Amino acid sequence: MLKRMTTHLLAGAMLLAATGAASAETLKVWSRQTDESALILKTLTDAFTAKTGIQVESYNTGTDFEQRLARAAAARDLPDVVINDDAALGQMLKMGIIEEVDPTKIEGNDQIVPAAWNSAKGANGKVYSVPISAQAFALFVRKDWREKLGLPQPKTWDDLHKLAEAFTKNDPDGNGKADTFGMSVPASTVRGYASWYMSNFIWAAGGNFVKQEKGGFKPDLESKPVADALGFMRSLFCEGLVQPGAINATTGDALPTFRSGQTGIFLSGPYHIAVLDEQPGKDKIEVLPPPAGPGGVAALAEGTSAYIMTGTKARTAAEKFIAYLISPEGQEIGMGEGTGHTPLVRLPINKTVDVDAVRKDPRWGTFKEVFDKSGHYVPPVPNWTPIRMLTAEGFNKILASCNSDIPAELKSIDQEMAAELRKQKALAE
Amino acid sequence: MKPSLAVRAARILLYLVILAIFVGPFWGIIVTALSGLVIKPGQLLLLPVQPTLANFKTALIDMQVWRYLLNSLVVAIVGTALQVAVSALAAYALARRRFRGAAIVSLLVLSTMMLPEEVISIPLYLVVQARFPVIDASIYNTYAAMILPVVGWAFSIFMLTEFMRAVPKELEEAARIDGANEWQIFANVVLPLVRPALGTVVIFGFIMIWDQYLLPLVVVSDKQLFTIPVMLGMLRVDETITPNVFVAATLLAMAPTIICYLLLQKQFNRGIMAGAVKG
Amino acid sequence: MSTTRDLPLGDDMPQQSTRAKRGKARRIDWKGASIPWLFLAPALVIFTWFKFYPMVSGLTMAFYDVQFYGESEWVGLDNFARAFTDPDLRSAVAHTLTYVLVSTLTASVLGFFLALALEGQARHLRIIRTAIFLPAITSAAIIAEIWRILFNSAPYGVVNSVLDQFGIAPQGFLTDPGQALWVLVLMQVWKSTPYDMVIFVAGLVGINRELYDAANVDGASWLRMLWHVTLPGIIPSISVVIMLSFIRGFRVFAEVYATTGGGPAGSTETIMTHIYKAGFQNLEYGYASAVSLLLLVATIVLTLIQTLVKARLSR
Repeated sequence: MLKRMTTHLLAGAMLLAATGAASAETLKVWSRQTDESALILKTLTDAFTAKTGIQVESYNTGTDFEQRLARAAAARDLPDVVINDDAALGQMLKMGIIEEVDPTKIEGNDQIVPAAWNSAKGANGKVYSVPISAQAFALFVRKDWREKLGLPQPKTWDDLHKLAEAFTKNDPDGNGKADTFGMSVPASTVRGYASWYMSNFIWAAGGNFVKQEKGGFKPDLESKPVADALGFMRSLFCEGLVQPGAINATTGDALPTFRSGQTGIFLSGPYHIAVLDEQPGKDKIEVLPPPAGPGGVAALAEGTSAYIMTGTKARTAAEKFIAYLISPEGQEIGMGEGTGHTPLVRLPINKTVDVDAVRKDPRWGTFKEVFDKSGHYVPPVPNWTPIRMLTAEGFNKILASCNSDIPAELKSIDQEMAAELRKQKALAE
Repeated sequence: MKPSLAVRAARILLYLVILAIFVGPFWGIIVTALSGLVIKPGQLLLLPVQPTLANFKTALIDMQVWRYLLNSLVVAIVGTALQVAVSALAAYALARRRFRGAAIVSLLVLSTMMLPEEVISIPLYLVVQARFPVIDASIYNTYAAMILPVVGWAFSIFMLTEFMRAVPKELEEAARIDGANEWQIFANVVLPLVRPALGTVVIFGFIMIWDQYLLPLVVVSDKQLFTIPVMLGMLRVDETITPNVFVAATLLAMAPTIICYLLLQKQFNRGIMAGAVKG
Repeated sequence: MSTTRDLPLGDDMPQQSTRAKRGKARRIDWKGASIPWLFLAPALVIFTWFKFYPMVSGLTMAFYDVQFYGESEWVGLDNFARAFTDPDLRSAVAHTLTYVLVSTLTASVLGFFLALALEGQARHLRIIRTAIFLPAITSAAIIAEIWRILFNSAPYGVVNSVLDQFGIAPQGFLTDPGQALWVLVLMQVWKSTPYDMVIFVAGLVGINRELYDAANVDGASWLRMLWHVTLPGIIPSISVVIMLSFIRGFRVFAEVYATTGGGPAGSTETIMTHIYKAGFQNLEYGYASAVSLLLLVATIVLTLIQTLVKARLSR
């Protein structure tokens, strides 16, 4: 009985494995996306196949992308193209899994907005990816709450603080219970969220993570602007103006607090427009540029890039696919307008594609404006991931305790950062 | 002598407090899953508001939880059966036979329980992905890839070893004199005597396999084959569903283990008793 | 669990008599000697394939700077040197030890008293025992979700509402660096108390009733009976409880990662979250592997010590 079962299992296994094998002509594309937004990638690859006859086998995961890549690398079984955050470039380069890209071989490379190329280079100055999408942060605010309380749109940090306070204390949803909070903040150390989020405020305060000097970078967190930024955020925490549990929250945890009407302010990227239109509702929210800090308006600019993987046997096909991704047609499909899904292409990186014409939604225009005028990419250190992780630990520590000595903590983060930069051979001594 | 009223009341109060602490949270989960009112993060309902089955329907059908439940059931049932069979055989050797190398085998097997599974994820992936010679196929992306690695579990082997040791050797000797061979002694003498223990091992094995999260992620990439814990991990960050639906999915994910426990509960308790009495 | 004896580390293999008899009957009895291996074969094949080989292969990485795609670089003991000087790992070890020791001790004490309260064959007792076993069979990930809800720091959070009834101000729980680890300890206590109770109930049944009667005749107090009769009677159960929760506790991960991610302010960073962050977020696989190897060795040593101590106690 047992033996028969085992035989059946093995036979079944082999059958499945045999049918799963892909033919040699297909281009394998992996994308760091959730299933919900992967539908847009599918539309894209289908259109590409129809146009060129090149088959595409796409795979997406939003939960364990890096680990899957690491395993595939160890098995020498990498896909041909990977679509991933541009900030992952340093890490993928360190893993040795991406190849240099010759932009001139990608048709339409001259149509890419110059700023977007910033994030495509390795520390050695060579190009390792092609940007396919860009984005910046802006402020989602509960318009209905704000108007009910008769408050203006927040233009400065001071306004923001007042608005958060009013949302927390003045019962904006009018249910007679003190069950609302000002702002949704993801301050977890997981994946480095705290650092990713705080970077907006650090730049708005006029501060920097590192200074670029001859021979490399120098940690630069121990400064008044950075201390101001953390002091401002900590005041929101300590006065109870952020959602409960903010200190341990990832974006996945923070989003539902804004959606469910627990908070009324949410600093996030344009990928959340679709879900927020559904709940709390399109008529209830507004998108505003991030309020100005002591150093002006600033926001984290990031992007998504296409990478060609080491050892690909389909390089020409990969280049063709990337060219299609950045073409006006590919960009427009990637924007997924009218699908209700989270778009693959947030802000197009192709100069000839007009966001307003495609989106017909001024809120996207706001994001574009923030990106163009106030966007800051993370510093071009060789590998940003470990620095994001260690600064997230440090910021989380500061925000978690209302009487922490901010300058002293910043100093100690700087020391850790220096050690990491030295390891990356990028410390200016 | 009957206890006084006060003592009885105190006792009932104690029982209620114990139940509230250990079972209360589950009550909140069930009620929330059955409610139409969308909860805020951090809320639980204690009495149903707008009672409905819609959350379960959304979870089961729209989010396709049924498919993942089915996958989990296949993996857990076949996996538990094979695990118990393999463990019983190994335990027989360790408990009833004295041989050179027994101690080292025991230690090696035990050590597999002490290593974080994350650390072996990459080598495990390579092993599972490796193609068999001749037939040129691998078990990657199949049920077999999720089942075979859980067939070996040190815990089952050791529990059964302990139980089998307690079987009086006279029974074995008697069977041997009657001309029984090794297999017959195992199958007809020792195994029937440790039946209550098998119930215990089945429950723990089932729970262990049911809860596997990392393994399916490592050995399977086809989402149609993912199991329920993996699905829950994805639902947790899903931006399109309400917390009530997530809670409903959580309950669905728990149901089979609870059923398994309730079905085998008698055996489970007897198994534990038997173990204790021997001591 | 059921086991009340030592794990078979070879010190008490069965039956001297069998050995003597067989020794006489054969010179080299290949057939007889191969029998245990035949029974072990399926397990050994599976273990070698999916456990031993991946383990050895994974642990070898401890001596390399792992490059994933390219050739990994041999770095000798560098990763271990780093482990011994890493202040974050040191605090992670401290957190883990606190977590394991406090939760194990508390759960065993509570489980013991729960067993005393719920011991017996009456139907309602059996039903209550079955019901409160629920946390023990629920997976760590689901329990983490439940606790995130229960211990939400909002004033209307479940536990905060209960505290409010007693006039206690809302607490930060998982968001308070001073409380987070203790909330996680409480979570572990909640999960393992019923589990320990079941083992103790079984242990109590095994105690010879005559001992109680004798103690009663001597006029011993309840406390003295507890100390001199009950406790010695369940030492084997206690030993099992402690060892299992040590083996599990040192590798605590899902419960922590899903609730606090190691925060706030690193107050709940455990050995495993540290390994995970190093190995799978910073992709320093060699270092993660080295720390894992140290963890493995430490657990084995602890298990051996436990076995020896128990052997001495029961002698």
